[in-house]
Amino acid sequence: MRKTDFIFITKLLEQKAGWNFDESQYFIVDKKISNFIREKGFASVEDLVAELKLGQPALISQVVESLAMSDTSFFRDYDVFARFEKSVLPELRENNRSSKKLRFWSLGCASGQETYSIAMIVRNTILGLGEWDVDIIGTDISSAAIAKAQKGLYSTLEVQMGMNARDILNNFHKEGDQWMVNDDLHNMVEFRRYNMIEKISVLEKFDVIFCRNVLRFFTPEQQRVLVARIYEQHAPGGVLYLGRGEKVEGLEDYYDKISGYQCVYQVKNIAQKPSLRMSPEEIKELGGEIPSFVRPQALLDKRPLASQSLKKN
Amino acid sequence: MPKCLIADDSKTIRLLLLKIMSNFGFEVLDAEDGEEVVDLFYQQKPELIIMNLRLPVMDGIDVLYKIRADKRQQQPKIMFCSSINDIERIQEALNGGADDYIMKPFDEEIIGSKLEILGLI
Repeated sequence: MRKTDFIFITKLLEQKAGWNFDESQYFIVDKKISNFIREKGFASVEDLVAELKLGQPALISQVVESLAMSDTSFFRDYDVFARFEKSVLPELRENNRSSKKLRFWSLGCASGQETYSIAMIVRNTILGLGEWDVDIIGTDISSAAIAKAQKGLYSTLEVQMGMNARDILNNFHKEGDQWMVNDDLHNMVEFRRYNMIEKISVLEKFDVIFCRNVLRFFTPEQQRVLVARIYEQHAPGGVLYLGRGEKVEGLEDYYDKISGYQCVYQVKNIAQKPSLRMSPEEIKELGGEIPSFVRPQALLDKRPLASQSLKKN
Repeated sequence: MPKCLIADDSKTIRLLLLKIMSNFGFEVLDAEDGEEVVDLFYQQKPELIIMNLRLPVMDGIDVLYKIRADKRQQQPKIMFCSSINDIERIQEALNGGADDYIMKPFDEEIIGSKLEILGLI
């Protein structure tokens, strides 16, 4: 790939997805773009760049998706999830015992392995789960990744990354040579396409946000903006998971590191910070363009709300 | 250095596992059949055994039962590594006391992931 083409493509990625690729990542970009032109039948990178310069949104979107980082696995960093199961989630369960609501956001979920991992742990940890109102939402910029996540079908190689055979047999069934997630787990999660550089507004804040190995691909300036945006969607006392060793600019303005944990942070109590809150006018102004994770009515209908369950008892 | 015993009747698989496990810092012993696995288990007391479900002379599942039945010995972690990916056979191995079951195809990353889950790396 010529240097001018590399610069053009990385600028496009920064503009459309906020990713910050520098020359040290030349080989990653080159490899992924080479795969893309082969799959799509372009004669060369120069041809692709010429087409991109015409500004076709569909092609630009395909290129961005082809560069999406999709390195993921079930229970990535096994010890991190083990402690989520043993310490973090039980504490949240106690804190939310009166509301019986828990909301999880797997941000940059790729093909869904992280989201399903959260669901497995929630199902194992929350006794009487049917009485709880639990939302587990996975989002990713790549619609191909989201389609795969929604399907819940994985290869033998994929299911073995992060899960032992017992977990696989308990949560998946075979479909030919592949493994399909069981319905009970499938029904616990929902997936949406979402580009992090778009503004967002959620009706109910999240108790836990997993945003692992995502922010590090953005510039320090963008990291500051995105951390503030993530903070906005967090419930008071909410917990943020980053990648192991991931350094993010501006994190300490909104989050405190939870001592004893490598990559787990808790929301600071800075609710009085007015500059972070979107005004009703601003929300109204952005109205139709704000992606919103409003739970579909179907999900609300299926699951009894905590108040309904309490009445029954 | 922890010891790992690998057993497969295919020399290619043995060499592959030998390379992978050496990379993870194990001293690697290898066996071609089930009887040899049992002998090396008593002689060398490996911390981990990775073996094929199908082994000549003594089948992998019989090796598992024999080792698990000897309560006087320090029990190793045992993983099967097999191209038999039937749910019933995997369940049989787990019920018999196997710690995990690697389905072929596999690669170094998967072995690493399994070792992490078992707390061996």
